[in-house]
Amino acid sequence: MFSKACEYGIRAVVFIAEQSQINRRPNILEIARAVDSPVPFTAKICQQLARSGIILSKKGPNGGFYIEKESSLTLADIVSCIDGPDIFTGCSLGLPECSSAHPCPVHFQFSEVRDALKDMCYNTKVTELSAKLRNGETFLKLPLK
Amino acid sequence: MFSKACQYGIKASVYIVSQTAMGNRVSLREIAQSIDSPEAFTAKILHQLSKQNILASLKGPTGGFQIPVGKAQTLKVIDIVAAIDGDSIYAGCALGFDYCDENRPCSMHSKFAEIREDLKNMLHDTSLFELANGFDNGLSFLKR
Repeated sequence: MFSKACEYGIRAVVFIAEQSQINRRPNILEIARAVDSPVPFTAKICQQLARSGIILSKKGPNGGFYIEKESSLTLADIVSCIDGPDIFTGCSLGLPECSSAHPCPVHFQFSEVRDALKDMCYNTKVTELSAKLRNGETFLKLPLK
Repeated sequence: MFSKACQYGIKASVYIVSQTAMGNRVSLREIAQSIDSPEAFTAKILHQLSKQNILASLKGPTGGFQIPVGKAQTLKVIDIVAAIDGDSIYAGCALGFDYCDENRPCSMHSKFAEIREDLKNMLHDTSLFELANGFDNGLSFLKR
């Protein structure tokens, strides 16, 4: 559904949000380890997210990535930043001009699923996901052996 | 959502079904023109689909690609997606973990489960024959 970069991006932001709740600012190495992603790719994705203002970064010895505790950031912000808005609004078969008046063959079958995905992403706050990570209801990697 | 290859694969299959129903076998060039896709990339995708028995390619002067009507009625969009993109889009974890399940859910698991199920059902219930019918009747389009 999402690109690999977007999957890692969501994982990273949820982890950063969880750490922000306890006033920590993880660096790239910690993030990559916590969400099971390759370090260089994670660095690239976090840079992109920081440039777009999705996550914040602080330099220096206590520096790292963070988000505001009361952030209203949603999944849609992350997905749009990394994969672009096409997944929510574009044609699923890639037609440049697809609409109900000029539909691609799967337009009507697809619109319901796409709208559900869009609603879910726009209505899911990152802080909601990070709270569940914090209290152990959800996970971002395998348990340590 | 789908890869570019998968988008072209679905469009090409719809076009081939519609042409086979009219008794035509179609050439690579005709397919690429009809669905507005690059020829070399399309050739690669069609080769992949014929290797998986989704379509047949016949050589010779009257040769070309075809999908028999009987086959088109049983062929679903999910078959094309599985052949090109694999099943991760409708069966995998939204965050790409291969060890995500209800007992150890990832952060998006419960949010995503229903959407993925709906997507799977939709892909599984939509036949190429019905899509080609809509295209034949001018109700849907494969380019522009």
